[in-house]
Amino acid sequence: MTPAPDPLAHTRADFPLLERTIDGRPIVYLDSASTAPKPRCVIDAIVGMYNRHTANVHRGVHVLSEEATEAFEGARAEVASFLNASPGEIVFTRNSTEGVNLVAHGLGFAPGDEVVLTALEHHSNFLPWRMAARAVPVGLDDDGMPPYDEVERLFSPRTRLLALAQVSNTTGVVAPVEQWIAAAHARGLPVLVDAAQSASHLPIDVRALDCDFLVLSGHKVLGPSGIGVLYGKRERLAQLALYQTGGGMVRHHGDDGFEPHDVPQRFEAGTPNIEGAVGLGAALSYLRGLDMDAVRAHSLALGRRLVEGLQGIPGVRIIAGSAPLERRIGLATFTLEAAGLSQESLARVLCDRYQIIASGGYHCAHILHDRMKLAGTVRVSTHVFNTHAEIDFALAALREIAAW
Amino acid sequence: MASDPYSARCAAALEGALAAVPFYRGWRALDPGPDRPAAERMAALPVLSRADLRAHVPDGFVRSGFSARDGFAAGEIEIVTTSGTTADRASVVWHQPWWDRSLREAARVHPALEAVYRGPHREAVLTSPMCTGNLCHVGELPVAERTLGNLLFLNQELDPARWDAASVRRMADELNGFQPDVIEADPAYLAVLARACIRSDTPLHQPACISLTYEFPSHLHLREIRRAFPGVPVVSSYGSTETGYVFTECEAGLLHQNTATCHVDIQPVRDSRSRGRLGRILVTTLGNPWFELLRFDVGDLARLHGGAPCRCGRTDGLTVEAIEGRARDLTFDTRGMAVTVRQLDDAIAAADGLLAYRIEQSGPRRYAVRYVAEDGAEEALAAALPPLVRDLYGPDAEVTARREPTLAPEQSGKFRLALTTFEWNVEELFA
Repeated sequence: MTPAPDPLAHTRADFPLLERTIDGRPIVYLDSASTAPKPRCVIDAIVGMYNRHTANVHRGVHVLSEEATEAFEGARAEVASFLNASPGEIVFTRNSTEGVNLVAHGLGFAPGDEVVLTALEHHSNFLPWRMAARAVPVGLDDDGMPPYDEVERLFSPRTRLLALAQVSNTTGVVAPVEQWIAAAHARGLPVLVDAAQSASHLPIDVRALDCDFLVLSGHKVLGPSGIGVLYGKRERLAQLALYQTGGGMVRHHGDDGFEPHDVPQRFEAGTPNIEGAVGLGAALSYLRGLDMDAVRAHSLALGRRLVEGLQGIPGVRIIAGSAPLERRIGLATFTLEAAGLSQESLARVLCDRYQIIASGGYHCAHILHDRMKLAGTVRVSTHVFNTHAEIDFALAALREIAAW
Repeated sequence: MASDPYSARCAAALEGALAAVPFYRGWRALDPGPDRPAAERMAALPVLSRADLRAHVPDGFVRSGFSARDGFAAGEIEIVTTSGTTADRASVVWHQPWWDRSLREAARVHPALEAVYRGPHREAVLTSPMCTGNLCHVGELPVAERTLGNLLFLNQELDPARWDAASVRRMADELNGFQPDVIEADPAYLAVLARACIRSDTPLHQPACISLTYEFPSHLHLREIRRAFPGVPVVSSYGSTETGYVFTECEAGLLHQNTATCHVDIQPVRDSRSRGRLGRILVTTLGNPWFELLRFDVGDLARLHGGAPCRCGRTDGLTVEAIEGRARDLTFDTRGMAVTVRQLDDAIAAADGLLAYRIEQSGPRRYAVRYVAEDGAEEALAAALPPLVRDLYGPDAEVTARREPTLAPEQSGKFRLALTTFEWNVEELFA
């Protein structure tokens, strides 16, 4: 392999976790699709909140509460800027899953109502729809790719919404979200975009996309766990039924009833995850500082190196391996047919012998694995700090294991 | 130099490993040579750790002339991952015929076990799914999918405290239906099942014998198990995924080494840190060319038997008085002497009404005991436990006791009875 430039290699110094060793050797972190390491600025932002600004938001009249509120709402503005939305369209949630559940609950589906999605969706973008309505998935081809073009064939008079991951957490392929949105809007249907994976790899502009809802999770975009985002067009959010009630979401509560706040506070009952939101704001600010176009180019380059390398290893089968390289991010899920070695054992050996942190299992995509008759897969996924040398190291390890 | 067949096999294993197993190339210079006794040669070698396994499995431990690639392709061997927690986990090369032989040979120590394992038998396994590799990502498997030939795997829950009445009933029904000759169990798990069945008056199949393994058997566990299985021989077995079965309890209550598939060195803890014949268990595997281990540190401690020959008449291999628990679970008395899990268990497990406990040492004289009490025993235990802990650790021990509704297992599904919250180096204990 020829050496490749790593224009974001300087970011490695920002991630304390990358200094970690196992058995005396440095780790190679290739599991950011599961959860990403945190840069020091995120850690500092969270610690700073605890050290200097601990107070509740929106309700205190003292200095600390004002500081906490300013930091919290500043984070909301940062998220809005990241997505090209307005702060009033940003609801803080626990994660992507809660965002999807909030919408699925709030739309008030009637029995028989349908949601069109793909069989590839993460559980978080499948089960909430399955619980609230009838989930109608686009199928999967033999390679594990949904025939996205067939979406319109699945529309029925009962279709109420389309839900789609912008990037699949299993294939790493960028979905034709714009095409789905156009098809849905032509029929007046809203679309929810699951950006849990894509937000770390692609510039996202909700205005340009014209999606109605979008969700993401903090922990995958270099932020803390337990914080997520639901973006919604303001009129769409306003139509949603209340999700939870309690403190913070109500403007007035009297004997004769209560009046909820406007969006987004109406969906943020109870004391929010203040430190999480501030950490998320710091993470998205960090990513924007790197320039998301540069992040996209880096992810694309690593994905290309990874997939091309895997294709050259005997016994490797890549999920959606036929997808064009230019539509991928730095993620690949695969099996390595090696006698005596399950896919989970393979992931374990990668860690034990090579200190490579990768996922092994089903990646919350059981339907995909069932249909492809796969008893687990291994997933390698990158982020801004990963380098071509790390991809080459992982490929060399896999080649070595394949030769056992 | 080898004077008997076992010594000759040990010497050959050592010679063969140093000469023909890749990992040990670096050890050859430390070998005093074939003219020295095997024990002296072994003692001159380093200790093999799980970190070594992690770095060099599979090819590092395969004897030359054997190809891991061919072994995998032929289905002779596979890679399995051990169930230990975090730093204790490792991938190992699993050779089923050698494992089966290890089990059969170890079983010969106890007549009840031998009677079961010498012929066709049915066996129920009750432990953490992490230990049996049948942790399922999609929920509990039906019994047909948990039955592999003569084996029934009863449990898929990582914490037996989560078993509800239906789970207990289901396991009891499956035992009654499967009619196993032997139950091989983690004592903590079997104790919970036994207690739940007694309390709910649920009948339990009585096997020909019970083999306790996977983790240290507390007196608490044994008490419950013996109540639910009166008259059934309960035998302690000791081994690991890496080493096969190593020690088995005989009818007289001592544990004897399985000389057919392993050699054991007990590396003594320094006299200044412990009392009497305590050491760590170092296992050398015999007869498994796919995974040759020399002086592998399993991470557990044993106390050598120092008295008269065992009443069972067995004289080959080592005899140990007890497995004393994991080295990393050692705590220290107020004078700095090591206290093993077994010593701790002997000191406090007999307390009336005690269902579970864990000691956490946070300083040279600071101990917290967390405990689960039977209904009605809470106050008595709150009064009884601190003096028992002081008796063990020293009159100047500062002891707090806190009642808990349950105590959770580690991520591996095993229950830790003792721990320190400060760092210490286990290697400093050994000469």
